[in-house]
Amino acid sequence: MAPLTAKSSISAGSSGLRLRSSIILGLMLHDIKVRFRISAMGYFLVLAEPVAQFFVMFLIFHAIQRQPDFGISLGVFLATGIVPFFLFMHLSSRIISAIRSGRAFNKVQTVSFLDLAVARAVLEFLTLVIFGVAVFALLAFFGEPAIPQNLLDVINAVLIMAITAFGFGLINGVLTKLFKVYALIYSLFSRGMLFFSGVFYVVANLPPLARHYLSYNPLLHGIEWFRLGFFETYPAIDLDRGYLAAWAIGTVTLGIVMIKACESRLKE
Amino acid sequence: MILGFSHVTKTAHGRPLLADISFCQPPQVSIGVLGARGSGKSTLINMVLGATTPDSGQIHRHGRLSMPIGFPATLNRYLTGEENARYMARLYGLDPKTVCAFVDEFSELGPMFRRRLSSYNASLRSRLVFALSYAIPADCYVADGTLFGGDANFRDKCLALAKLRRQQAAFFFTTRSPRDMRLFADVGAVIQNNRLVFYPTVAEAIAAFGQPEDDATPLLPDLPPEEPDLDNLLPDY
Repeated sequence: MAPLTAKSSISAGSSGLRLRSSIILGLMLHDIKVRFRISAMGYFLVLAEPVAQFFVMFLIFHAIQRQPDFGISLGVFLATGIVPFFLFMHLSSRIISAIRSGRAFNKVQTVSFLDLAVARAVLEFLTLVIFGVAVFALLAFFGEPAIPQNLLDVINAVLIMAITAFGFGLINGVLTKLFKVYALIYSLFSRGMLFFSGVFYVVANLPPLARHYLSYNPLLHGIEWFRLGFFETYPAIDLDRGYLAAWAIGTVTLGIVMIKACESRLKE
Repeated sequence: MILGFSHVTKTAHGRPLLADISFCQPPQVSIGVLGARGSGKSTLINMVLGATTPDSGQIHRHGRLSMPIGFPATLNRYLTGEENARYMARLYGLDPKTVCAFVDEFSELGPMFRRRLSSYNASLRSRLVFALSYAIPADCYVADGTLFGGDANFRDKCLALAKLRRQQAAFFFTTRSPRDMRLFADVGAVIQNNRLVFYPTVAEAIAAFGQPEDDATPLLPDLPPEEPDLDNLLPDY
């Protein structure tokens, strides 16, 4: 038996990108394996929430015989709101829980909280992208006009929303860990955002004052941008891509600073 | 220097637990700390690993510290022995194949290496745990009470591996066992009245500790507490 020597590659790869990617890959593979083994259904069950949201809204719209605010398909209109909204909410909340349960790694010197957050974010993002593609493919299969007119807008919107969600996750993960009450406040707040993000209405149809206040919500810009990719003529008059990008950069920067500054307190 | 404490103080429940601890550990040197039950041994180890922040003072670490020997916090019962070894290797930036091959051979788990941990008995578990602990290279191996273990057949082999690592790296460990002090420590210290007192020789530290020889090494370490698995399943917004 050739014993590993204490002086092998570990010091060489200790601080580089190779170590980080090795850790993140390890965490992702571990996460997906364990979740599937505990319950394969559980893994997919989280996706039941947006699906249920979709059907509830669809039925309500149908019952009150309301036409979609834009386009000819109620299904596609609702899906283009719910999918990006859920992407944001799910991603940020899963990062929060990664940070909250990160204490399990407090005796593993190599693993940082940022590694945990990145690993979780990448895994959830991939799951959500597959989910999103499946939703629109299914709608298209049933003859709905669910093919994006401008795929680049869709991809950009999804990426920038995902980055913003990552930043939000980091900031709120640290805050929930430090202040217990904050978790409750955030969960109430994030659910309420469904009504202020233009998920089931077109912002351009609202009175100017409402539009003015709602336009501070970065989520709304993401959803408008996403919709623009699906409907070429969508009236995304309030869409400000730079504003959303500023949120993305700002939250990620602040999030990384906070998580690094609080690393030792998070470990306790 | 591999590990340095500078005027480190830690209180617990409003009372001082460890006060004004300062030392400097050179590479390749093994420091053994004797302490009675409740004297702050685990807190000291947690501070070494950065899992607990001191109230005041500074801790410097240069080089890689191991997980506490015998208690790999990342073990997961839903994974096989092999998958656990691979996971651990990745967390330390090592080649999973090399680590798996080493653990497979050293632990002599045979086909059980490819079975889930939930099907292991205590003896198999301890084989995996110790093989894994010493499979990961470190500049300083950290241990809280347990340096080697396992069933009768495995114990000697495990001790030999620990001694080999002892020649390759530094050790920092706490214990209640004078025997482990004699086996592993170059430098002896005792936690006395909340202070870490260093003695010129290990024998003097043992004499100052003055407690009857008791075998503090548990035969079969337990698995770490289960991960909050539900947290992985349910979104919490």
